[in-house]
Amino acid sequence: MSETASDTRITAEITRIPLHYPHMRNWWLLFGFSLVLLGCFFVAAGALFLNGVGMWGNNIPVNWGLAISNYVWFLGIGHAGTLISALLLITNARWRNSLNRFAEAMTLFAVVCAGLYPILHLGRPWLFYWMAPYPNTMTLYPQFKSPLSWDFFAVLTYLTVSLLFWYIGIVPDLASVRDRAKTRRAQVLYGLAALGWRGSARHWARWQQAYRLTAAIAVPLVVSVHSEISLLFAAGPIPGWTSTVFPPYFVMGAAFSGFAVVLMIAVTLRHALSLRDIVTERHLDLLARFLLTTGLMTAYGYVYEVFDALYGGQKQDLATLHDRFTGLYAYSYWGAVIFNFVPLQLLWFRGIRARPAVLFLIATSVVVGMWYERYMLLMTALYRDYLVSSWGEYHASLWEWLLFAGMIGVFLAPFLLFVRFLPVISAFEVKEALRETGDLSHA
Amino acid sequence: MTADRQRERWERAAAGRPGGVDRRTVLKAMAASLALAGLSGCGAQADEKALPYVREPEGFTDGGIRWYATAAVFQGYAQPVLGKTVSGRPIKLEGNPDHPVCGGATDAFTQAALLGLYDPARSQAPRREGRPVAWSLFERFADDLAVRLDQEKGRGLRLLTGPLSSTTMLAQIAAMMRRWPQARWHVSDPAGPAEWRRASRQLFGRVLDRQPAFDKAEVVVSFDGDFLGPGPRQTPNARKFAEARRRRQAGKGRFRLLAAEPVPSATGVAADGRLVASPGRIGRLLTALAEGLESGTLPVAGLSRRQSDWLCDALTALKAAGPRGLVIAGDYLPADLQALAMRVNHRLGSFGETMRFSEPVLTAPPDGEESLSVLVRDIDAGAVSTLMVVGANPVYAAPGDLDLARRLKTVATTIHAGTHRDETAALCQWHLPLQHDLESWGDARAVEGSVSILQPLVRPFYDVRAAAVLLAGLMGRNVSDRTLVEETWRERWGADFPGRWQQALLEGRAADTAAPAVLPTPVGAAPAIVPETAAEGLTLVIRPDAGVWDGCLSDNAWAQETPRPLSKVTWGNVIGIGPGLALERGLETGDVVTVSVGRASLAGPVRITPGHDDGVVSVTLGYGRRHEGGLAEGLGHDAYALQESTDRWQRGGLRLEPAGRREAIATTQPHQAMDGFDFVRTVLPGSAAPDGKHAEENASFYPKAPVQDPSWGMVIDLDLCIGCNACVTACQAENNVPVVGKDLIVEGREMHWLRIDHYHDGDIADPKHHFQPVPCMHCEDAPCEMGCPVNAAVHSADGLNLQVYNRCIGTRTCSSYCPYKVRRFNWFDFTGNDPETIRAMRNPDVTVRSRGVMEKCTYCVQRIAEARIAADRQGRDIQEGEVVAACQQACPTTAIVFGNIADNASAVSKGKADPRNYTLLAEANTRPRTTYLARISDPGEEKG
Amino acid sequence: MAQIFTASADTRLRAAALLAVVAVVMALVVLGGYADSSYATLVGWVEHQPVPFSHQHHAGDLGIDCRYCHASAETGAHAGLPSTFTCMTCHSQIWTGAPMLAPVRASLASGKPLQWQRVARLPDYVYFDHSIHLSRGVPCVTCHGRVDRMPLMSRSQPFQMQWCLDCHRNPAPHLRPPAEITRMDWSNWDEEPGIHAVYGELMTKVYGIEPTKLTQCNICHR
Repeated sequence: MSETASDTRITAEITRIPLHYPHMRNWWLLFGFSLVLLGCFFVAAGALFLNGVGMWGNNIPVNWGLAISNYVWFLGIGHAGTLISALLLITNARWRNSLNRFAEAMTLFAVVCAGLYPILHLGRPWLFYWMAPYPNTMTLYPQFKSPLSWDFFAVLTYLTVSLLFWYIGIVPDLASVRDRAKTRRAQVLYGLAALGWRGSARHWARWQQAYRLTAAIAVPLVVSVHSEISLLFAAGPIPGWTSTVFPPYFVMGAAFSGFAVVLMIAVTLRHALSLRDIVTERHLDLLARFLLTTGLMTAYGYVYEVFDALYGGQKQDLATLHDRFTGLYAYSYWGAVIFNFVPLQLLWFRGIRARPAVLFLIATSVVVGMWYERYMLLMTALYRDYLVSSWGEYHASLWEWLLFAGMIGVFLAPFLLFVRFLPVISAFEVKEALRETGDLSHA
Repeated sequence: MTADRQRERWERAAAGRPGGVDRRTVLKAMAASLALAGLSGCGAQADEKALPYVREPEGFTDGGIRWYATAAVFQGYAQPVLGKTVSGRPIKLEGNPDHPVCGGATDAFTQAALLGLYDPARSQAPRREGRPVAWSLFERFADDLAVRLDQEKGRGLRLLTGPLSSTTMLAQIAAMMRRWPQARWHVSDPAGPAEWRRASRQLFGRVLDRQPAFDKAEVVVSFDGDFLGPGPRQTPNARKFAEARRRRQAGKGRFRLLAAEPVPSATGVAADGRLVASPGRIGRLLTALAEGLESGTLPVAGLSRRQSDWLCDALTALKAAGPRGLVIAGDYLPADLQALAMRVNHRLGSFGETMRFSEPVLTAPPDGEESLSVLVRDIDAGAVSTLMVVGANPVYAAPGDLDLARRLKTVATTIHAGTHRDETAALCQWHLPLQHDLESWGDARAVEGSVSILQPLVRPFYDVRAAAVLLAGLMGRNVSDRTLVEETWRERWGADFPGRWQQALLEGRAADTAAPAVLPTPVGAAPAIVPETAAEGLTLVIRPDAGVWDGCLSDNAWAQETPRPLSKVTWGNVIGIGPGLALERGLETGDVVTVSVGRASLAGPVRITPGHDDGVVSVTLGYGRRHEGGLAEGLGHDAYALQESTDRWQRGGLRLEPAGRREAIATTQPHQAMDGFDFVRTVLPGSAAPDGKHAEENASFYPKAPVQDPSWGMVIDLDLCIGCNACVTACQAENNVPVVGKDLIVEGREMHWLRIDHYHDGDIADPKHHFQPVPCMHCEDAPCEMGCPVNAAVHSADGLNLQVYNRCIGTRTCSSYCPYKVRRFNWFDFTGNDPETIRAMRNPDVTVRSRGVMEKCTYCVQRIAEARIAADRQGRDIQEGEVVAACQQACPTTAIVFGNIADNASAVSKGKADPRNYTLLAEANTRPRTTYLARISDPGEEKG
Repeated sequence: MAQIFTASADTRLRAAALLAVVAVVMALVVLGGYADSSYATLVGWVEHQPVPFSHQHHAGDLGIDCRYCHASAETGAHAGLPSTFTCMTCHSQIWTGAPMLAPVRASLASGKPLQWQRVARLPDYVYFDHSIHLSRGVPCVTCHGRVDRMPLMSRSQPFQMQWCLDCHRNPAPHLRPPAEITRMDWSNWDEEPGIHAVYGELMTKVYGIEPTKLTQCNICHR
């Protein structure tokens, strides 16, 4: 492949970022902040390991609290990465090429956070590996009927596949960074990471195979992982959980929150790294449309839940529904409804979809809304289940909030490193898109 | 006395007894086994070591279990028990099945007595002015004291004890009074039935004990008489009541219980017809009933419709029942009313039938009910120079106006002997640690009068002495408590002593020592009852606490954490008010208010109590303890402050002001309204529970498990349950259930494997109340088993829903999925920091759970395993009644039936075949092995 | 521009990757090996005891029956350790002055128990009952090994859950006539399968042993 002028320009523009990062001061500020949060994580987790889950607000009946709702939330966010990269790759939606790299990275780190939570919330975290099937002196294996066993595999698979997919995708760009690197150290490091990529035809062929194959593997995960997570609730006999709508409902919710975060990052990077002609207004517009669509699908889930309870007519389900509207945790229900769906309606207007700042705010509201939803689904079902006598309340303790802040750090810190040191946008794929269409917007 | 001398004392003590060698070796074994068990040096490496006995007890198998018949003493009465010792350590008390009073059952207090023995906070050494000293120092002091008393004929000496039935100690006291004629013996009995004693004098000219035969009754009408509630007579009363109820269930007669009471009680909950009535109104009702019985027409003027209906019902029922009718007036009602109630019984001809009498079991002090007031008067008169308090705590547990705290300071010499360094100990110059009943030789009489010989389950842990030994010491004799008790009975039994002694020790009850029955007739005419005065202000009702009684149990963590039967409050007392009053004053549960009568007042959180009279404010005794370092220090409020020695239990003219702040109430069940659900079902006599059976036929995707033999199951009869908590505490003792304390209870982290839910149904001012014990349901299609990712919750062939602690990693999925929320989680390390004594108390057959694991009711799997192994060894099947769950064993009404449902002849199978049998939350379709028998509604209602 | 890597860089990278994989695999193998090693299970390790008691001498040479000292093996959950008194029944007659036995005499004199180190030890949450195993004819040697050949006592079996389960899943081959449970040498038992092959199978039926039930958690955990 001979390099055209525009090619060189794009490659230069993208590889410039890791090699001579534009706004070091802001980056250091942000990174410092994320390190502080990371500190919070180690403090909160340390205290937890020393004293036990009792540090949290959990009790009987509310066995699961912030930890589990955040687990679902983070995993949902991570959902968008695979969707954009894999699904859209298979469906040859070229415009994805400007977004997939950082979407994948985001996924990766979100899944790490998600994966940490269930382990931390264990009564005896040091024995988490009993969830894995391995030959042992107890001749015992996991209990495969349990949704938690499925969770374990789902999250693990998801993590592995995302990592592979992301890394395979980044190899060619690492090579171009290596080639443009000035310092010896950079050359060697990027060189090692690039695994000796020389861009030969044979390399490209192999790469194509590998990339497409991983994508093919990743596609089912788009649906499976979150269907699976939803069963963690739907499999239990608890009013408000036992509903057939949960799997699709969760998948949509996940895509919804995922796109919101991608949109937030897209807007931010576009602005911060002045990538206006790579992440074009058209991209934002497309993301906004996706956000709207998935949002409406999620809304359907809400409607269905109400219908389900009314149609089923089980006294317990109706009670739970009533609790959602008016109970102790009604704020989380209405919080979810309002933050998720009210600002969302603005996206019907083309004018709004062209405004990055507004899009950013709407996306933020969706992320908050989805957090409320996860919290609501957990609380309203658990705090009042069958027996009136076992009703209770749950109030997250400071330690749980500290851990939450810490988790944000666990997400932010590596993501910032990624932005700083790796090509945030897949240069060669953008080039492909360009070569085929001449314009990134009309993919 | 040094430890060595104490051992010698034991050698001597043991020597006398038939088979004494065996006894001694057990006691020697104690030394080894206590070391083994961790009384000396626990921790990981300790159990790497193995410490065999130096001398094996005869026929003693390592870890061998032994049972000793003895008794725990409560309020002076013996509560007959069998003490289970493993390697010489007492680990469980169970009712003595051979004893007519308890028939194998116990109450919650008796179960908690075990913890009292091991209580790490017990006083462990004599003290003078608060500083630990050697016994020898006191012995020297006592000798001097005796000399002085001899010279002065005992002038100024006062002995103050708790209520006593111990023949030995009474004999000692008598001897003491003979030797020192001017000395005087007083009794402090803060929660005793003083008013009844007055009534009895008024009626019969002397004090008699009531021995009501509820089992013989056809109708029981109770006027604020909580005979099923806590107290020394709870077990026998409950057993007799259950007998009557079971008769009704079998269709024989239609036993009915009608209760009028201001504050809901166990009796009210069990009643077929409950009437909410203020104390004043209760007097009115009782007089009306009496008149009605005489004249045949009820004076219902001024009574509400509800009240007159209830009264008519009661009257007709009593008339119909005649001698089989029984009217009960509460121990805490004024003497006149109690006397009147007795006259009604006499009029019915129930004397000797349902209302029986016996000679008093407790011996009253010279001044009878006035005893404590007389002591105070004498102190003020300066007539008291030496006060010796033995096993009583008058500084705390006495009506506020007596103010012994101040008066004690005016006494020259004060000596206190008790198991704890309580308020009185703090104010006395001398404090002497007493032995616990379970580590002492002694004697006491059960409520029906028969004598139990107390034999120690274990050698005293600390350098403490028995009360009898102290008295003997004061009289100049240095003997063992065993010798003293033996002397007492050798004297009484003469030649038959060896035989009777052994029989008494083996059966836990000396044959034919029951108090002789009496058939008295009331003398004189009933005094005119002062008509109910127009209630100005509110009436205060003071009662002993269902958890810590009069405060004697407030250092007992089990008692503290056991939820009070109706309020489900733990670790404190509340101020009970009716819903109407709450509405009127705009009060919410948890609002702190100040209640004051005269000059006395106290502040505490209110609790809106459904079915509570709106003219009444109720408080309970036993809280507001002030002794330093005590478990109960700073918990709740002290209701003694509101008591007047002349008028203790209900006081008019009460004022109630909001304090404008709130306080967390540690309750295990915040929501008690049944909200129209059918958790507790009620059926008409002879009819089946609604959709009782069909739970079995519910469709399920799971294959139905083949029924193995044995298949364990449980049936709980809600028609018999009186919510007494005996099962809860028994379970706690049997299964090493940890205590978590007030804060964690507030956070909803109690650990009780078995809880008793209390529901109220209908109009909150006058609802129906229900109790429902909820252990693990042991579902056949258990959601918890499906949810557990690591196979820690699994099912056994014999139908147990197992929880394997050592496999559990604490995902808590099982609990999230459990529709009954019976699972308990170790949020922290609840057991690691237990004191050594508490470790020694643990049941070695039950795993001690560590931090982060789930636990729950196991149907006492350890008892099943024990029976299974025994049966297998002998190559036979497990017999019916061979496995008795701890809760079932303790239950005084035998409401809990456990056994093999594969055996159609078993009691549990019969229970499940009963038409009243129903499944809790059948809609969840988990096929529980624990089912319930519906309550039977008042047969009176049948008639429409 | 200048070469960053030498020609062989690729090969070395591949080698490194391969090594990493091998390392991980090895680590797992070592870990698994450790769990089953005698170092972890203490099999064959001799504990330091207050008195160097020789089972070889007492049980082997002198042929004292196991139950003479471990008296409650047949009746109780625990086999029981001999009291000092039991030791002295003989040693008040023989080896009365032996310095080796000084601790025993001291114990009897002082009344303080001897502190033996447990050799066959199970975790606290495992409830093993000697009596039922003996009554079914599981001989001592099955779990405790040839103590008659142990001058100093050491653990002969790993006492891991899988080891217990091996027998509970298929008890037949381990059953022996209860009359001979203390017999140590069963070598010839296996030599004449004609007679003995069926014994276990037969007895499982006689005793009504159902292996499916024997492997349930509540058999050992409570």
